Amino acid sequence: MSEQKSYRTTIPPVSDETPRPLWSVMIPTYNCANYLREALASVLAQDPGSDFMQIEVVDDHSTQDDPATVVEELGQGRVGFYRQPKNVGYISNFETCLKRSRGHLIHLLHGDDYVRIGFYRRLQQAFEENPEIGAAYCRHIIMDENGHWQRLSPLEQPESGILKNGLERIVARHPIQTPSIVVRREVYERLGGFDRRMSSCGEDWEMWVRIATQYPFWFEVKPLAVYRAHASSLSGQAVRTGQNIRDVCKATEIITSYLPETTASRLSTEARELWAFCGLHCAAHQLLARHDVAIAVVQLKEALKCSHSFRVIVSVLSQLLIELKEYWLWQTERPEAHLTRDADEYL
Amino acid sequence: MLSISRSSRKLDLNRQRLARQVSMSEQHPYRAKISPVSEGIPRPLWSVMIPTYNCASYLRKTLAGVLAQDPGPDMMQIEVVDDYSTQDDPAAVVEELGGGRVSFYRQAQNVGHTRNLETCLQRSRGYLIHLLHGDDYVLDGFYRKLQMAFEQYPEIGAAFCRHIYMDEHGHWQDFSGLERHESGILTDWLERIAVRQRVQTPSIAVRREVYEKLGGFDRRLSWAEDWEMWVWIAVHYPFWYEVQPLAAYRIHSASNSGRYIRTGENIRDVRRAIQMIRPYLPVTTADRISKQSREHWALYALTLAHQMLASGDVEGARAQMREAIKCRRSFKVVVSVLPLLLGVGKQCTQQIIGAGLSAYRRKSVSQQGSNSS
Repeated sequence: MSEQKSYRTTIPPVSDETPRPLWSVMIPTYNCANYLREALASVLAQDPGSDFMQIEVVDDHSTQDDPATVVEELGQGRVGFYRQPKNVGYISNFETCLKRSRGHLIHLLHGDDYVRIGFYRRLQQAFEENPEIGAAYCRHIIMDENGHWQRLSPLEQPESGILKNGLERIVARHPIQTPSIVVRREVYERLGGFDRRMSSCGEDWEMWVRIATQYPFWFEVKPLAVYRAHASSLSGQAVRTGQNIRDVCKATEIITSYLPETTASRLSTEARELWAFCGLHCAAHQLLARHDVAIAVVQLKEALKCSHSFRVIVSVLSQLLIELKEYWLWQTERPEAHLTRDADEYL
Repeated sequence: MLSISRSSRKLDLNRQRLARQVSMSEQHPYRAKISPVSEGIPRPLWSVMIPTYNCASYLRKTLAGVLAQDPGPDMMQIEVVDDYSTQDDPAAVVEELGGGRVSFYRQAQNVGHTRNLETCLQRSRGYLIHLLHGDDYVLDGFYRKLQMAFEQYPEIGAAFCRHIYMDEHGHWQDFSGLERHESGILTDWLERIAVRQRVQTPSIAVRREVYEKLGGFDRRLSWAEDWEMWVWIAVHYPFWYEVQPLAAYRIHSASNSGRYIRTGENIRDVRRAIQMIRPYLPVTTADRISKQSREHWALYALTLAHQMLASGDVEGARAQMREAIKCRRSFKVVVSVLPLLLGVGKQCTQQIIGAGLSAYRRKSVSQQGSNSS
């Protein structure tokens, strides 16, 4: 797995003379300077000092705003800034982040996401107490463009600890968003960087799966990272052309080649099903909320291409029915389903 | 022209009617009278009143959340009002965390949830009352943000923030709906709050003078008393909304729920509340809102029924289904009941078969026993 591959970069070890902090917080940006303020503030609020933490913004040649000013204003010299000489695309920009990192633990924090107080402390403790883990991630909050929290990622297990059935969960559920995960640098050195065969999405998932085949993961129950879901990501070029689903199918093919033989076929079926559901979900959303039939058809088509087993078709149809039913049921006033307050406590 | 004068006349009539209701409420037999604080008693800005009943294990977090933003005793009264807990010792927690800063009052006997809230209101001395159940908590910034709202808008009667729902273990589950995109005074609020419960108690602060004028929680209610109270306040005062989720509200899973939900008493209480709320509403919209409300709560009951069925509580699921149908018999509700009925039927059959099988096994075992002897 460590051999040279044309489609993914090699991360060389840090040279001996370079001083190495524990943390490298690498912040890729591209035209998101207005959000960057919050991202930087959230890191600086838990800054253990430059001996312990490298903080660097790596800008992919933004054209519409000026991240350097934000870095200067908030960082006051504390935060490094690197600008790509030309736009290289987000996956190559991630590579630059990994290569420029000097620390032992790498946190890739997109410039439009942020972390909550306790993130670095809790995950650092996990790495210190569990030398065998390759990565640690926390539950995360999904927010909208205006920073309003929308929902939470699922609680994978009731207590923080080594993620049970880590590989299976990561393959079949995709529970990790990039700002919520921290990976040892030596893991990237051994396994390489993100896979460039994907172009719009799926490269992160493939990376976490690749790591999970080799290392245990740590799961932190507290939601300490906040991930921004952009409405435009539901109507962008990749969704319009179906590239998003083609990418995750490609990623599924890739992971199937290195999953343990005993589970490979079952897990890849589950993964295909997951992505088919994603495509379907997207299609349903386009139909119901945006009334965009063209995108819905593209998504549905790609979803069925990704997986067209009898089981998937049946679940696809029943999922569609459920979505339609829910949409219809909750049109007026959606009950907040879990409000099961129990007055007995007080009586 | 005609229609304008007609609608303005309607509005006038409505205002007169509401004025009558307020004067009625002053001697309302079902609402506690909250007397003004007597002169000479020092009055802090805030009263954080913490009702408890057998929840001492959660109380620690509740108190810590308040004490972390404590502006000092001159600015904030903090008091735990215990409804005669029998299974734990809240006084010890108060002493340990409060260190003399938090006062403690214990009812002489168990008085029930709604009455305990009354005691909280009556014992409060501050201008702004925050009722914070002993198993909920607030996040940093709660008091600062809401205080700013009350200072900036003297006309508001209450202010609340978006809230977080958490489970028994404190894991966050979800967020309450976003009422508006920026913090500020809510518009069309009465129409919205009258449909369903949108405000959980730990997320709201109310001016003491509002309770003094409108009375306390209605004692005829024991599950929906908070909802009815917020609607009653919304009839008379504007509400301010803070978009940041600064309060965490604990919900208990349906599988672990008590008598109220198992017997359907929760929805019966809601139906009483809907009837009480109806006359508060403008005549022109009362019908529509009442219907929406019934629909909402019926679907809510069915959601509970689903959860209970999933955890094997057929009895509870049936109670919720029955109450849902009593609450509203629309096409949507009836259609949503059908799959549940199938589920109940399936589980009942399984139970009957299971009981038959185990009786048969017992019989054959005892026969074997008698044979061998």
